[in-house]
Amino acid sequence: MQRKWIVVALMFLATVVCNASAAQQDPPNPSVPKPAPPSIALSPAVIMLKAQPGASSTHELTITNLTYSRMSFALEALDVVIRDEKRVFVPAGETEGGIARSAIFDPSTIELNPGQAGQVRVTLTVPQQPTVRAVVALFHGQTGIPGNGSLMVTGSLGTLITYNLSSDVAVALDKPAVTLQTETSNLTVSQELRNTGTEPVVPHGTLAILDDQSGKLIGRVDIEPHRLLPGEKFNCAVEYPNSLKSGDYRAMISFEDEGGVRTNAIKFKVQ
Amino acid sequence: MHRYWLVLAILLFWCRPAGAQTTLVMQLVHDPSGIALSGSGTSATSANFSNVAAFGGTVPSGVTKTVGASSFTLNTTIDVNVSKGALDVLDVLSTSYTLSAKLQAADAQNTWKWNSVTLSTTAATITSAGAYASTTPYSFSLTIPFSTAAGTISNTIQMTAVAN
Repeated sequence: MQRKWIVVALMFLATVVCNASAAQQDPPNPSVPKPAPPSIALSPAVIMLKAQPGASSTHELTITNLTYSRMSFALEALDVVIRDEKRVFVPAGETEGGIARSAIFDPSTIELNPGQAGQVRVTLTVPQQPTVRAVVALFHGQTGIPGNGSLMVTGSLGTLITYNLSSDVAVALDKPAVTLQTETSNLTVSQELRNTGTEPVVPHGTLAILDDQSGKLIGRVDIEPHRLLPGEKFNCAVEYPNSLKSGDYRAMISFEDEGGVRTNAIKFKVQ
Repeated sequence: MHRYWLVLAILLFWCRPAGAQTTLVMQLVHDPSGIALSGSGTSATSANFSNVAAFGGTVPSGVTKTVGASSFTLNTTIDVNVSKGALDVLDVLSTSYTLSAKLQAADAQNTWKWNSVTLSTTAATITSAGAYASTTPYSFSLTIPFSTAAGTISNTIQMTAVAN
């Protein structure tokens, strides 16, 4: 009998937790006052896909109007290309082998009352010879504030959709550099990462500070994951939050991704 | 007793949403030292620079005017805040965002700058490593040549945020 009550209690607890989780995903109820400042929100913000050339996929995107005005958005797809090792958003059709030109939005525009959430389905098809690995599905804000303002600013949000089409993942690390601590700043280790493969990659890592003589671990700092599209470069600067005593040290910086673990080291002296 | 914990764990995972949910939230905010914005705190704002001239006149509060050899420039500050949903796993999927801007209408005469980036009808990157949940002040400037005929100058800047 006691066991049955335990089961019932556990199921009740699970139901409460599940309902709370589901409530967080529901679109906001306009009748409930929101204490948060007005904003627009888009979900999901990132979609990571594994696909093959020629594959199509459909995704549902939710835009929420958390302002006090009715707002409208036009849907647009942009290819994400890398120029000079940096991301550039290019209108659909301008890039040979781009994915954005295949985008079909349903609906292609959307209007939302205050507090309302709306869904848009986007269907994308990877061309047979794709040259890009990421697309942005953009909710382009169309609503201006009425008045005689000489400057108007509108906000737009985009969902980043990345494609891994093969297992060719490669990240190159340059030599790390150390900026020593001062009275007003912490020690910083910088490491340049470059995606030399053909697919997107999200490396994450760890910085470890070791005593150079004994090899003893002095401290470590986690490095947040950072997405790199093919050809993209990122200068990762990691701050060590603690003060180091005088001595000889070694900084070991490691990054892990689908391609494995890569480690670099540099020695330095603290006076 | 272990089986009950197993039941609880299965029920909890059963209820988890399929796939990672991520949300991007954007606000355009009045900067305390900048020009007053209509619709501040939303994703669509407007600012009125009123009647200004190269020499004489009064600029609105939060705006500075600099007169050069052949033009004058109006400067102010506008804040942008891009955040992620409080319960998201965006930490894993994205740790920063890209903010880009472009003009809605081409302006061959006057120069519109956002954070020193000259704007055109092609999107330009303002920052490629924006920090989430941080209200960031951006300088805005409009440079008007003396040769510009008196009249109304207006345009719309389209700001776009995309998770990195």
